[in-house]
Amino acid sequence: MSGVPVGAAAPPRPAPSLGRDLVALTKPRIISLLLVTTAAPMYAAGSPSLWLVLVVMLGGYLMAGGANAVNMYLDRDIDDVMARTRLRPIPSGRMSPQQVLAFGVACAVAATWMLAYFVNVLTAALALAGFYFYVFIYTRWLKRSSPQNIVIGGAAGAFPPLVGWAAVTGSIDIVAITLFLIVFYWTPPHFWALALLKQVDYGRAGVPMAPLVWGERETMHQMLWYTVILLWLTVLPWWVGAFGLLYLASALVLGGLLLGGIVQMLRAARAGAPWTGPAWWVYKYSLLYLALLFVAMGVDRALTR
Amino acid sequence: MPSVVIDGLFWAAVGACVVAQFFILRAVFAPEAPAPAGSPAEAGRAAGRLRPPSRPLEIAWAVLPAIGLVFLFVWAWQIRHPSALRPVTVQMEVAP
Repeated sequence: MSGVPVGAAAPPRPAPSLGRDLVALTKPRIISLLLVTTAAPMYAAGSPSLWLVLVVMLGGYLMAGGANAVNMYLDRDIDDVMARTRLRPIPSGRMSPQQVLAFGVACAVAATWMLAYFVNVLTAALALAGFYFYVFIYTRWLKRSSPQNIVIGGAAGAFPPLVGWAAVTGSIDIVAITLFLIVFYWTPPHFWALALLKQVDYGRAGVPMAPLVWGERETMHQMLWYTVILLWLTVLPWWVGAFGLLYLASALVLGGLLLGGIVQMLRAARAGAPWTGPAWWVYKYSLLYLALLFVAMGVDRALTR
Repeated sequence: MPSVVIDGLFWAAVGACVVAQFFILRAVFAPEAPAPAGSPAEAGRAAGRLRPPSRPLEIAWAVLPAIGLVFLFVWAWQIRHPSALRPVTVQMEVAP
């Protein structure tokens, strides 16, 4: 593990084990948010049984985890260059690339079978589409070729609401498509906040993230415009009558806070003041924002049903 | 809530999204900004690690979500106003 700073102040790391590495390959912290955006639409779409929710959660975890493992297999060359990813199982030498690829594919196969057998074929097909989109469109094609990698690649992370909705209703309607677009338009401001903070890493790895191609200021402006669209998109489910005033109020307050954070970051950058603090806030709050927005949908429908 | 207010909110959403989408598209058409001296972007470009993206593809990637938005707004309007945006049928009675 050359180049990894080791110091007395470093927090103690748990001893590596195969089980811990397999879990790490699935990126559990990222998946937890995907599961919220899967489960909440299930309760918004109807009254699913606990069994159905558990099966969809497990299938969703395996599919997303499989996609993340295959992503680590494909990105193994740049993971070694970036400080953020250097300790992953492949660059640190704890697992071979072939083992990681086999684990990722096995997870995806198991998830497809589970969702098709216990839920329905549409749910399995949508989850598998998300897997292919993430692996081939985002990781393989766009990540290293376009500053809009996160924009279009964000569609991969927007599949979970479709999966949850289809699991309960067996179909896709305008509310499901709106939830898909909400996650789609949420992704750029969320990831560009991180990209602004990790520019050195991305530049070293040759990943053309927006701040490296468009510049910091333009990236912040783009975050603002995507958030404006996001805010109005979150109103649309209320407008078509899918959710009530509790959801509308939550969407406006939560979205307003996100917009305010981005404006604060942009103001700091314009004034030549440090903007990394507001950028960290936007990155962390955007995670909470999406989770709370989707929880508000589920709660609104539970209260008005 | 009065339907005038509800429809007003819809058109406010459409207007805001058109303006935002305009600025998103403008960034794609704008020439690439020179990287500030000493920035990670300059280092990446100098080392040949960051190649300029394909312009036609960049435009396509920016236009695609905008088309999705148009599709969504038209669909939403049709749901609240089922009679709107449908072909008008004319019935004529022909006297025997």
